[in-house]
Amino acid sequence: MKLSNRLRGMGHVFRFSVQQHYAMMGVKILLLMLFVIAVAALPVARIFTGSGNTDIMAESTDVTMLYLRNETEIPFDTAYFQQDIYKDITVVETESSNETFGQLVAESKGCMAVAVTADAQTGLSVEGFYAADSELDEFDVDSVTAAVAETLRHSMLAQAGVDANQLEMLNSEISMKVSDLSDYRPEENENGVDTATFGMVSTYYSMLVMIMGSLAMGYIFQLCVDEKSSKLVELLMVSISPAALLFGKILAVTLFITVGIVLVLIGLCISYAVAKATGSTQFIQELLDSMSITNIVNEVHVGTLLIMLFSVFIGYATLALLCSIPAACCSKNEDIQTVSIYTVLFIMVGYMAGAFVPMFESSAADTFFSLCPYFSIFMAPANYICGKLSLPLLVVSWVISIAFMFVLLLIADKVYHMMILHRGAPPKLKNLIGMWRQDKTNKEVPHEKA
Amino acid sequence: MGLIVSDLYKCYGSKVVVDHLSFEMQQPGVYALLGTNGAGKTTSIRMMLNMLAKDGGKVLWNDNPLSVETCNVGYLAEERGLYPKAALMDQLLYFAGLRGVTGAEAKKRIRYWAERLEAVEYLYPPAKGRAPAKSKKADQLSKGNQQKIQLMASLLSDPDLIIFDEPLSGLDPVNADLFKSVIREEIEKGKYIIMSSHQMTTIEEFCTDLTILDRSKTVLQGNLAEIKKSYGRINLQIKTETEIAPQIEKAGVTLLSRVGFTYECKVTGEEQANALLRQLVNDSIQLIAFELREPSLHEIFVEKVGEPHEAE
Repeated sequence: MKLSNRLRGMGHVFRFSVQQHYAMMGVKILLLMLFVIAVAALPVARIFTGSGNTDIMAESTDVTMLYLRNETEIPFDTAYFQQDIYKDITVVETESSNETFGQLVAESKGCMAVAVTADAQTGLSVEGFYAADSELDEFDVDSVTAAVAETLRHSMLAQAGVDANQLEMLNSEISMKVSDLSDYRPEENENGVDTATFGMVSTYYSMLVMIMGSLAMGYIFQLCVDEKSSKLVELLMVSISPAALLFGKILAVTLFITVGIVLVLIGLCISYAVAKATGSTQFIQELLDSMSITNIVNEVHVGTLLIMLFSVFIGYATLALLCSIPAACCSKNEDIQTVSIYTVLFIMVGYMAGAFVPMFESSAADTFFSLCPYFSIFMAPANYICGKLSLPLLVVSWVISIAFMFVLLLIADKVYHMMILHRGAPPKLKNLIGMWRQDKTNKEVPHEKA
Repeated sequence: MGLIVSDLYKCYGSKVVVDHLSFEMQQPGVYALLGTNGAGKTTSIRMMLNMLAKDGGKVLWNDNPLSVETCNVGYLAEERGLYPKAALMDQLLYFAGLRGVTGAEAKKRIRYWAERLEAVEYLYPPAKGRAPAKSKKADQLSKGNQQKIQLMASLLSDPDLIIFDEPLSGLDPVNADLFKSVIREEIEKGKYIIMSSHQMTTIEEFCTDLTILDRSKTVLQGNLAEIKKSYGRINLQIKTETEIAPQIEKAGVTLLSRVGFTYECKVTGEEQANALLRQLVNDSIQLIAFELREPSLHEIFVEKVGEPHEAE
């Protein structure tokens, strides 16, 4: 049968699947929830990272007068304080009590007060005050208070004789590593990506592909079982080929996942805009630092993004086709639970390879898994981003992956056709292979009438 | 124009499930495919429609291999269903689209069949308040009404070849008559219809030719009228108001069954029947009915599938 005939009707299957999916109220609610969570993600993350308290990166301030009561021996460096947006704030050092502060800050709209105390048990305390009916917002006061705290810290270090370089060293993280002397080698490779970063990038990328595959698995299993459990198979089979039915559904699943991801990305963009408009976004940098991928993210450009997107798509498509094979063997919803366990395990093997192979620190292993069918979808792009794989080899891995996809496509078509009328428990793999062989033998042997 | 099924064969390992089935439909009409449970009817139909791979034989439609491209087929399967949570209109438009009937034409046909099958209230329910009217979902319908929708789905594309597998199964008498009237209309339109059913009276109403399968083999095939004629008129039904068993026995007629004073008998021929009639008249027996007829399809079927086969 010509390919065009085999896929005839695929568009109708796609449209109907999409129509029924988005007609469900549960789906609409889920998408809305995803969007809301994405929009709230960064502002909420900022609250939980507590970056508002020590952040001095506000873009402007409405504070014009600062009354400072410093009960410590630490000198307050007004010149250091009056930088950037705080340069227009008048600082008045006073010995007023907290009660008198109320009168002071009520003087004008832009007034606030800060009290600095020291205690042997609790340490240094910096507390900001503003009038209840003040037009200053809490964030502004918080920002100035943080700036005062930073100024005092600077003064303390200056008193201790710490210079700028020493200060930077004090502020940086300490990384540790233990290795056998025979294995010792410089931490940075020729491409400048350290092993820790490579491991994290590989893990995150594998995780992304695994998530995409798991999402696809859930949808594809359900869609494949729909016709069988509804007893619609025979009605459909006189109209379209099993290939058109299967691939129409896979396309529909692709759309579901793409819409979800796009919605989340739009939500995150809005979230970033909200976070930026309401305060500093320094915490994002800190978050990336904690994930050990800052230097990679900072070097991302359009070409890298396109490579990533294409690679993720190949990974998703491979896993979707892979999932359609066991899905074709299911007759009812109860079968899905049994079969999906094995499918998940198979996907997990790919993820684990992506997460653990970098730990071997073997360029031979990295290259091998980057070119090995199936494992390459989890590993090749991350290896390329981290400089472990050249662009020509990445392209070779794509070709291998696409060829693997084509093989899966043929297998999926065959299995789906074989199992479309199957009822009962999903067959074991050896039985499935036996059925395939029997089907092939019956075709090859002519059956003459006795 | 016509359908030719030639030497259709299917086996699973050493078990033969369809053994060289052949038949032809050279002109429109109804062809009956009958058989016991597990005889191979549904397997044969599935092979004809390319749902199952054939292990041998061929199926031709107008001298071309029968396929989705060469033949517009409507199929009402024995095992049938609908998407339970999808709106009926959406499903029908989907099924129509798969058969190349889209847009306004599809809606027009759905409207026609909804009125024909008295399903308008399910597909075009009245609007409630300001909310737009939506057709019902399949799980909101009774089984009989679901079957109406399924029949619609199989006929929306105005198929040339229609296959009905147990079309009246589970229907109440009113809906059964409705379905029968639709089948008659399709026959009048000149459609080729293959019908498989265990309801022999229904088959007798419509079919002209038939094949009876038993354990994968063809045990009887041909034109129904000719088959019946070949048996001759040997079934005798007598209704009286008195006991006549002694007269029946005396005449040498075989008494098959009896309900009250209604006797079902088998005679060797018209001569024996006439002899019994003369005897009853002579004995002044009040006769309500005395009917000599050909065997019913049911009787032929039971006789044929009860016969032992040749050694395989």
